[in-house]
Amino acid sequence: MENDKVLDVKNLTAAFSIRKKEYEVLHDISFSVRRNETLCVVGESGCGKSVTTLCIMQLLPKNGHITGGEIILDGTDLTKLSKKDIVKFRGKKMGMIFQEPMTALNPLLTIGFQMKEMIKLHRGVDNKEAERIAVEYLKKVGIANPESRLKQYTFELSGGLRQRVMIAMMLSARPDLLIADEPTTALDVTIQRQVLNLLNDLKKDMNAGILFITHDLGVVSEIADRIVVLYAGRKVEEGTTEQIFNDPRHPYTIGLMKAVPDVDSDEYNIEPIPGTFPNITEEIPGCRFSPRCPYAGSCKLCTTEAPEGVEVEEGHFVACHLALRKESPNE
Amino acid sequence: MSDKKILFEIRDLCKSFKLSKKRTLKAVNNVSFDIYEGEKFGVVGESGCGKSTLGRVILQLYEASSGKVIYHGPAAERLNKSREEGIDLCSLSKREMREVRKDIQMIFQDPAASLDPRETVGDAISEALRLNTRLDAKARRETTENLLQTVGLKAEHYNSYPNSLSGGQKQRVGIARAIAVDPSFIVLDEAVSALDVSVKAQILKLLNQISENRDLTYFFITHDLGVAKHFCDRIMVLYLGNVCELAPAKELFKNRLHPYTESLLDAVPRLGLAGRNREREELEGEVPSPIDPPKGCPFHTRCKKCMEICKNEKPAYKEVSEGHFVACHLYDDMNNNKI
Repeated sequence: MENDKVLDVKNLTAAFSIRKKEYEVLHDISFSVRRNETLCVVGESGCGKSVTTLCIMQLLPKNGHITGGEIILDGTDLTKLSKKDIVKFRGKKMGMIFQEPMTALNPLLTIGFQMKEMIKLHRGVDNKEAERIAVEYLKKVGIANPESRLKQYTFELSGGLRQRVMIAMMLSARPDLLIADEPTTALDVTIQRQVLNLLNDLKKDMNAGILFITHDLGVVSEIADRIVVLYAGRKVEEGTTEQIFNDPRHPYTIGLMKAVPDVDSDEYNIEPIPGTFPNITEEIPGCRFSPRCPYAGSCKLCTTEAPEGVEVEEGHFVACHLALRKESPNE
Repeated sequence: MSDKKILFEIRDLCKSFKLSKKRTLKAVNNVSFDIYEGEKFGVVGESGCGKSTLGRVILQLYEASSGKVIYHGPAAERLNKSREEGIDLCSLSKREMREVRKDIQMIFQDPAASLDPRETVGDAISEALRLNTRLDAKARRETTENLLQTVGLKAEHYNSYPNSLSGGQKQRVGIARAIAVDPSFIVLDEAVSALDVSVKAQILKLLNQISENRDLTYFFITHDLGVAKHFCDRIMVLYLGNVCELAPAKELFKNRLHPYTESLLDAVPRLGLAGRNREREELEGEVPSPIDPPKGCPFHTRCKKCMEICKNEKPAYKEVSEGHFVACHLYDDMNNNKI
């Protein structure tokens, strides 16, 4: 199934330099996205989920750089490409949807202009054909009267519609990989439901992989095929949706699930994770989660040695010293 | 619920904003409800439904277009009225209102924006004390340090600036500042929405503790139904400035009556695999513009159970079972206890 992989991230490490000091923001992250699959990257703010997407798109800010690892898309290592060559990949091979579509779209140009510009560039067609494609994709994302929408500006559209336009625009270039960075966070629940249903439907016929970034475990459980949990720039757990929700092994994953209020339960079941999220400038010996981990006291290794990822069952990786022990933290 | 004391009586409250000569935006439309003393009253709805405006009108940060906000808290006595009689906040002068403000406070969504970046945490909190109490500088400092500890910060944070604090810590400062003057009522406008899950749970726990220890009443505005269910005692659902449904939190989730409440609850992503392969009916379309709201029931344009009457006549807001209010024509036949 090797060639099934659309994106393969191997041992990715990235750092930011702040006041002439280097701070590692991603450490040894590996995962892959397969065709027709949605991979969710979950974590709280500062965990490195957005930096991961920026690394893939090669859009890191000036003080950030990739210090190691490979990002392989369609057989090419993106980290080795020059600025000129990466442009051929952005949009064409990988499209990105952002949290706030208003800032991603140009307010001075019509939807039609922006969509056609993209289609002409990536598919090399003339204006008329581009318009036909634009209409086709707007229809695909469930927009009524696409012809008249093309003449509108972004301010004339609601948040949900703008996000649909973004999705249509990204898909119209027929990318292999669609990166969605918190695409539903700014939307209301009823509109979020529409967009999630749309992405689930599209996944089947667009023949691409989706890399979905979110902090919302509820959204994850509805859209993900596989999940990667990040904490403070480290991958703490990876597995299929079934593995992660039925058998979470890392104390952070477990804590995260308990902190989300369950709409269907009658009991007060919100349980916070104690402590605060570490700053990237903080140095934490051993496991990055150990200061907040309820089990760290039972094992000396936690505060002295960073745990390596181990495969507890096929495709289920956990980076925790306690994961392989009999008294797994799940009990 | 008759044994509960009423803190606020909101009656026929309207708030509209004039946009131009011809266009007005009706943000809050004829809303009536009571808030009991010591309860956590939740308000949920999508963006633009008027939940923030409602909170601000109650606090008189916006002037009401019409209607009454009758307050039965301690400030009534300070203004020479009995608490039973109460005072209508909409009719108070600015000076009288200042007296009431000691009782009612607000906590905002974005803690970073509500703190002055050039002011230390200690100064931000003790300013409230300086304006509203007669404490001297030393006592103010002591009280502030105690407050910091109450909200889970350290006394050393007194001299920190907001930029050195995390989001959760900033929100704790916001809470400390709100409770500094010992209020009886706090409006929390999306107070935990900007926080990460693990921190959100911490802040909710803190708010729970504070309300128990200090006899506080919360007006909790949120779009997060999961949080509302577990944090609030009663929940009111707003749509386009109108109340759809009001019920005790658990009752609302178990026995939802209004079709909008139904779709709203159904749209919430569920944790885990249970709801995964279930086809969820989605609510079609989007919220109509409040500038030109639909005739009849405001929800009829998206309602799956829409009847002929819904298009023309606005449903009455009535109590269908004890403490459970709904505004929907589907329940017209049930015994009418109009309020």
